[in-house]
Amino acid sequence: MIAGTLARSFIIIAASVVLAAGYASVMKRPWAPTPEQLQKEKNDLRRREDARKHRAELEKQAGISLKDLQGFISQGQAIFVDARERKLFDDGHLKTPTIVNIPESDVKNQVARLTPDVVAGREIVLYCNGLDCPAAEVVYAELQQLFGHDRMFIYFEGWDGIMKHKLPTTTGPESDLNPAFIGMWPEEVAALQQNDSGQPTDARQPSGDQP
Amino acid sequence: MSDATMNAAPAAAGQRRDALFYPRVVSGHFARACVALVLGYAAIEKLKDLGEFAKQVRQYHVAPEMWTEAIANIVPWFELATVALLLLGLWRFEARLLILGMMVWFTALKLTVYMQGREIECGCFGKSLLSEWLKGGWGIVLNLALIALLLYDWWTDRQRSTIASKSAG
Repeated sequence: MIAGTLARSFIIIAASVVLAAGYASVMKRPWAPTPEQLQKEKNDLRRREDARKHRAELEKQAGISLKDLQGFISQGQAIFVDARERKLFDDGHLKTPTIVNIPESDVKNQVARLTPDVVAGREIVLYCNGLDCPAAEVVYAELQQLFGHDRMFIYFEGWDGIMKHKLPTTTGPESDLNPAFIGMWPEEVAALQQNDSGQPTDARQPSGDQP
Repeated sequence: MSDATMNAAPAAAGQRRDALFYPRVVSGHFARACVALVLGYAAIEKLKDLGEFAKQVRQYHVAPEMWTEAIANIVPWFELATVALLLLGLWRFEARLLILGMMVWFTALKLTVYMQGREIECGCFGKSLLSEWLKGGWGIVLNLALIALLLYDWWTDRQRSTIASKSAG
């Protein structure tokens, strides 16, 4: 009984090996990895592990929850930074009084728009696509050099979290970064500018006009 | 014991079958079909990208690195072969035993990785999204569920065989 079971099991395993050999020869699959391939994988693993550690540290340091994010939105004084690419921002972004788009691909140029008088005393909240998106971290690092990290936060769930939790979103251009208008809704800014000039003006600059 | 044997049992055997006999037989078949479906799907997903599967095998540190491509080449075919035998009823006992051994081995590996706190890809379903979802604890849960289904199938098969052999006697 046992001998028979062992023999049949052996035949099943042998048949699997034969099938695998046939398939491997047809598909030209190797039977052993190359040393270069192993080295590349090890490097990738190390890099991923480092990134994971860095992310964990950053989450402790600057990560905010959904509740915190909602608090910043309702408070209205924070500057929100959408770190996704321009097209994604134009398609839809978080609805909040002050939001700007600083994509990772153009962070060096775009970050200069956040001048000290714009950010003075205000929190900066960053987000990008979601948990796997490093763009917010890149923009965070750039901003950290300018302003330090004590008033900067990242909503790591990003756009995925905003969609998932059905937070208010909108389309259209960025907010006016005039320090006098920070924390004001576009309609309020438009009304203010209308009062000043006697005729209505668009408070938001078209996205193409941004420096 | 095949279905044909069971059906060939004398009518008197009906007296020995309790009310749960047929539900047990049907649920046993269902359990077997579930195991076959999951393993078959896993094998096909792995075959789609054997290079990726080999990479996932390496992350487990379970065998010398030079063997990992060979393991990746063989495992999907082993899964397909055992699933085919399980469904066809040919050498079902051995197929079940081999699958059980493989599942216990995989569970032990995943448990070790989980307890070490390493976050690696499950390797169960190649590059499909399921592999991503089954990282960590969920992969272990799925394996335990498959083991339970397989044992249940075994138990119902044994009961059926016992009754059939008593009837024949």
